[in-house]
Amino acid sequence: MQKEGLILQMEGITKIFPGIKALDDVMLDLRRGEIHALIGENGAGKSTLIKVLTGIHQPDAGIIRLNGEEVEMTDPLAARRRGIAAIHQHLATYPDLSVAENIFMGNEQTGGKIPAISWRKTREQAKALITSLGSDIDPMAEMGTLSVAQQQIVEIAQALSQNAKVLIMDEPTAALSLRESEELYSIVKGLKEKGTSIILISHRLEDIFSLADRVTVLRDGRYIGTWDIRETNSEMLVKHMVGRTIDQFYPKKTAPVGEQILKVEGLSRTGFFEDVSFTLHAGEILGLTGLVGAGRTEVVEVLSGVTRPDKGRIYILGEEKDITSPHEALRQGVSLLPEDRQKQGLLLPWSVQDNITLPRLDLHQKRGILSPESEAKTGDEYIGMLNIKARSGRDTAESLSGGNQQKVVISKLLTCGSRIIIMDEPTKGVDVGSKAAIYKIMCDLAAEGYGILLVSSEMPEVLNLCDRALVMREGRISAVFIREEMEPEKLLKAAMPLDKSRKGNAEYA
Amino acid sequence: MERAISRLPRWMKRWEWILVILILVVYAIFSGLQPENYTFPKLLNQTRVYMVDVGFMALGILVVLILGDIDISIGATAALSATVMAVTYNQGDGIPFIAAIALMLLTGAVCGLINGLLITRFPELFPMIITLSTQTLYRGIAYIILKDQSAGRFPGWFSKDLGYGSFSLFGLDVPIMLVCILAVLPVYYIWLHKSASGRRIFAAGTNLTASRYSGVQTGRIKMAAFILNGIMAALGGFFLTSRTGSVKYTLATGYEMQAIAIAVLGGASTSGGRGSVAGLLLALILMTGLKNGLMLVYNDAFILNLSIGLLLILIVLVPDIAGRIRRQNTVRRQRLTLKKT
Ligand SMILES: Nc1ncnc2c1ncn2[C@@H]1O[C@H](COP(=O)(O)OP(=O)(O)OP(=O)(O)O)[C@@H](O)[C@H]1O
Ligand SMILES: [Mg+2]
Repeated sequence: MQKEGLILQMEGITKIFPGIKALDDVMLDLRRGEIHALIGENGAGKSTLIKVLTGIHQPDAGIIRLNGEEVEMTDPLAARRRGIAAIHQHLATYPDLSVAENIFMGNEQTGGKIPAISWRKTREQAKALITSLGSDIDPMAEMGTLSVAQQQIVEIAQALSQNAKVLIMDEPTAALSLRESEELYSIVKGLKEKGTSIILISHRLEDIFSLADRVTVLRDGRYIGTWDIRETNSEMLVKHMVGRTIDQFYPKKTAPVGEQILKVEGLSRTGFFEDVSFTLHAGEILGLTGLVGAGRTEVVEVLSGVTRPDKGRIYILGEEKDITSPHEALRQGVSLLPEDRQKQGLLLPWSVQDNITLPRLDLHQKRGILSPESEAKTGDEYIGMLNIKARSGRDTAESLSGGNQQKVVISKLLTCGSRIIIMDEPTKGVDVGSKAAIYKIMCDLAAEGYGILLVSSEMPEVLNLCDRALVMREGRISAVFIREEMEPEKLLKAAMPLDKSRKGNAEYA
Repeated sequence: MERAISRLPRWMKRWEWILVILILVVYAIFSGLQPENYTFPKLLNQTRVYMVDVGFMALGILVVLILGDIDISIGATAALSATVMAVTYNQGDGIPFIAAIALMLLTGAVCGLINGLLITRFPELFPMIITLSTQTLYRGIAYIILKDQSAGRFPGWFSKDLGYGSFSLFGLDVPIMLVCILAVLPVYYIWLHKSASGRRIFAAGTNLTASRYSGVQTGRIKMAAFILNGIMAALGGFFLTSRTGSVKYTLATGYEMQAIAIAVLGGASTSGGRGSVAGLLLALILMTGLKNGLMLVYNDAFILNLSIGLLLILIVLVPDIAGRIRRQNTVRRQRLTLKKT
C-alpha cells in the first residue's frame, strides 16, 4: 500500500510507559524531499515518536515502513544503517573528543594498509563535511569548547556522514539566536534541495511557517492531523495543539521600576568577557541578549558564583559583595536558572519534588528532620502552577519530556525566593501555553519587587517583556536600549560581530 | 513470575528485602547442617568478630561511596590510628588512656583530611590511585613507629569488657561492642536518610555540577565525608584492637575490601548517588551468618575468603543480569505484537 513519493510511513504507533500512554495510535508519513514539522505541547509525545522511529524505544504496537517496506527498528544502529539520522533534543556529543572524532564516532574511518583508524582521513573527511555545511569549525577543536549552535552543526555533519536519507531534528534551535537559527535553517533548506527528507520539531511557529511543507500535530499522545502548511495559520495550529486559544501571550508589565538592587562594575573574566557594567533595579526585567557565545552565560555564571571574575566589583543593595560560590550567591539573594537543564539544572534520577526542594531544604525541616509532607506540598504546588505534566511529584525527572524538565528547573529557581533572579534561556523548549504562564510569573515577580535578569535569544521575548535590554557582542556590552528604543534591527545590529556587521547589514535592513 | 514481581508495591521491591531473604536462607542452610553449633546465641557471640570493627569502617566508606568516590586506605588508617593510641599510652609514663583515644581519633581524621585534600585538589587523578598511595604511606608510618614489634598492655576495661565482655538480656549474652555499633546505626540512618545534610550528600553523588548550581557546598561535603571516613576507620581499628589486645603495623590488613564489600552489598554503588544504612546493617548480618557457617563447615580461612568473594560477585551481579534479561524479554514481546498487527 505504498503511496507515491512516500519515503517513510508510521502507522498506529502506540508506546506505553509505566502508567502513561505516551503515544496512542499515532501516524506520520514523510514525502521524499519534504520538510515535515511535528508540533505539540510539552509531553505530547513528539520526542517519543522520534525515539520509536530511531530504535531507541520499541513501540508496543504499530508499523514502520521505509520505502514501502516494513522494517523493524530494533536498536539505534539499525535505524542508522537504514539512513535515518536524528539530532535529539538533548545533545549527545562527547565533549572531550575532537569534532572529527565526534562526527565519525561508531563509524571510524579506516584506511591505508593497516586496519587501524586513519586520523588523516577522519580529519579530511570531517573538514569536507563541515565545509559543505558552509561552516568553518576546526575539525580538531574539542567538542566541549564549541557553542551550542556549532555543536548542532557537528551533529548534522555526523548525520550526513552516514548518508542519511531521513534527518530528524528535535528542537534544534531551542537555544539559538535568530541569526544562528537562520544559518541552521539555510543548511536544512540546502539538504532538502539535495533530496533529504526532514522531520523538524520546534516550538517556534514562525520557523515552521517559513520552512515546513507540511505539519503534523500531536496532543496528549494522540494524532490530531496533518496539514499542508499553506492551509494553516498560527491560531489554528495553537488551537489544535492546546485545544483552546491563547488570548494574552505577553502579559502587560505594569510594575514600576524601583531602587537599585544590583550593580556590576568593570567585571572581566579573561577570554570570556571584558569590562561589563550595568545595574538592575527592583521591579525591573533586564534583558541580556546577543549571539550565543557572546559571553552572556559566562557573565551570569560569575554573578551567581559558579565561576570567579578576574576583575570588577559586584554590589548588592549598595554593598560590595564577593560571591565565591553558588551557595554564597543564594545567601546573598541571587539565584540562577542554568543554561543546561540536564547537566546543571536537574538530578535526573531524582523525583520531581526532590529536585524542586533541593536548593531550599532548610524550608522543609522540622527539628532537623526533613518533612516529606512539606516537600510533597511544595512539589504539588509547582506542578500545578507551571502545569508540569507528571503523574505526581514522585515521578523521576528523567521520565518527563524536555519542556516539562525545563519547568522543574524553573520551579527550583522560584523556591529560592531570591531578590535577584537570573534566568538563562528560561523558555527553552517550552510550549506556547506554558511560555505564557512563565511570562506571567515573571511579571508578577517584578511587580512584587524582584529584579529579573533575562538572558534570551528570543527576540520577541526581549522586545515584549524587558524594561531595558543589554546587548553583548564578543564579550563586551555593545549597546543598551530602553523599552521605547528597542527595535529588532537595532538589537541585531548591536549583536553582530564587528567584521560581519558591515556586510551583514544588507541582510537585515 | 515477572509480572507478579512488577505488580508488587514499590517498597517490597527494594534491595533490602532480597537481603532479608538471603539472611533467612543462609540461616536455614547452616542451622540444618550444624544444628548444634549454628545457633542464635552462638552467632550473637560471634558478632564481635564479624560485625563491629568492619561495621564501623563500612559506615565510613558508605558516605564516600555515596559521593561517588572511593578510599582504600581505611585499613591502613585504622592501623596507624591504633598504633598512635598504643604507643602514646605505653611510652614511658604514658598519657591517660582517654587522651590516647582522642589522639587516635585525631590521627584518623588527619588521614581522612589528607585523602580529601588530595582528591579535591587533584580531580584529574583517580581517588583509587591517590588512596592506594596514602594506604602505603599510612601503613609505612605505622611501621616506622612500631617496626616489627607489637604494642599491647591496655586498661582492663578496654581489652576485657569492651573486647570480650557481654551483658545479659532476656537470657542472651549480648556483646558490649555490638551495642556500640547498634547505637550508632539509628543516628547514622536519620542523618543520612532523613536530614537535609544527608540529602545533600546523595545529591552531590548523583550530579555534582547540578548540586553545586543548587547551592550545595560540594567541596565542603567531600572534605567532611573523607574526614568522617578517617574517624570511622580509626574507630574500626579501636574495636579491632580491643579484641586482639595488641597492635601491629599489619592491623586491619584487607579490611578496606571487606568494608567496601559490605557497603556495596548493602546497596551502595561505586558510581555514586546510592547507598543505604539499613542495607548495610543487613549486609553485616548476612556476612556474619555466612562466615560463621562456612567457618564451621570448612574450618579453613582460605576457603572462607574464596567463597565470600565468589558470593559477592554473584550477589552484586545478579540484579544487573536480571535487569538485562528483563529488558531483552520486553523487546522480544514487543516485536511479537509488532508482527501480529
Ligand atoms: N522514559 C520514560 N519513562 C516514563 N515516561 C516517559 C519517558 N519518556 C517520556 N515519557 C512520558 O511520555 C510523554 C511524552 O513525552 P515526550 O518526551 O515524547 O514529549 P515531547 O512531545 O517531546 O515534549 P517536549 O516538547 O516537552 O519535548 C510525557 O508525558 C513523558 O512524561
Ligand atoms: Mg521532546
